[in-house]
Amino acid sequence: MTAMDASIETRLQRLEDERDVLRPLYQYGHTLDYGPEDAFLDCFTETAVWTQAGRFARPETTRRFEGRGGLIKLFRHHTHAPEIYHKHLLVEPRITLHGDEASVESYYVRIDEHPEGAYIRAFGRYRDRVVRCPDGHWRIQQRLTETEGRNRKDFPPAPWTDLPLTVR
Amino acid sequence: MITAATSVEARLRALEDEGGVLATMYQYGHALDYGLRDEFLDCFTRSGVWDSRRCDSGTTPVGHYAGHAQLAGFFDRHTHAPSVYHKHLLVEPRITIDGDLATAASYFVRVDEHGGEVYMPGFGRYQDRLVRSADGRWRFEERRVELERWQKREPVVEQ
Repeated sequence: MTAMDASIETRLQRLEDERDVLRPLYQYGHTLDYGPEDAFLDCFTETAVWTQAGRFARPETTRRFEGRGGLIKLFRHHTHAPEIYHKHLLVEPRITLHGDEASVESYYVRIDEHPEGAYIRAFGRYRDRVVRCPDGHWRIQQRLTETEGRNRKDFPPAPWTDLPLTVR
Repeated sequence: MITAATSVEARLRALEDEGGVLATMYQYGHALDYGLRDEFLDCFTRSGVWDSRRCDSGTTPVGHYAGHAQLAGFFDRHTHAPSVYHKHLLVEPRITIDGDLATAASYFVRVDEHGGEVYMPGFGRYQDRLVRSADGRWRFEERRVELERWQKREPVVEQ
């Protein structure tokens, strides 16, 4: 292999990695909004941690779902279509690659249905750590959901209110 | 004569360039929303221009800033987190590369929080011209902000 080939291979790998890092980030929104559960869980490693923090976070309100068990409960206590239609929009992902790990900062906007019409329920930022798994797929190891703006409308009801703050 | 190797090189370069242009477009929103002054200025060439005009009332000029000194003034007068939270959402970028120049048209939607309600002050289109700088980074030579609808409420500033 020539130096030119190696360089092209490395550069191509970088582009593929950036594309593949996006896969679980987009899959997250689609599967949380529509299911199925196993595709949602496939966005994460077995030991992944999902945390909700940010502007509205206080120690007594910070939610944490840990590991496969926690993420199953996150999914099952969340609304999905067709019972409730909503969208988790992810935009402007900024990906930084570090070999088999990546850090990503992206915006999210959640749009929900409401008896009075569709509305923006919340917006904020995702801060993710994504890792390349042994099967070659990238999965989320850590997702920090920073909610920065939230609408007071309460339809559909907020998920997880009947769960403890830390779920495993 | 184009060999297979140069063809691959050219195709790879085109993909990298599109990614580089997009990275600058995303950097703009994140830097403006979170108050990252250096990152914001780094989106523009030294003589870069930010120009905005309203399209919902003819073509009324909103602002025109040329060069880093004026852009810094614009940035300093703009709101940022954590005093005010908002998002400049950029979607559907259409990028055209021509050597060391690029043009990009994209949609933007601004989302704000105001007194316990999330709302959209406005939306519109970015029309951008970027150049490849000496360090290889793509920067705005001109960002034209076409405000197609804009109705902003007075910010509720957190103390």
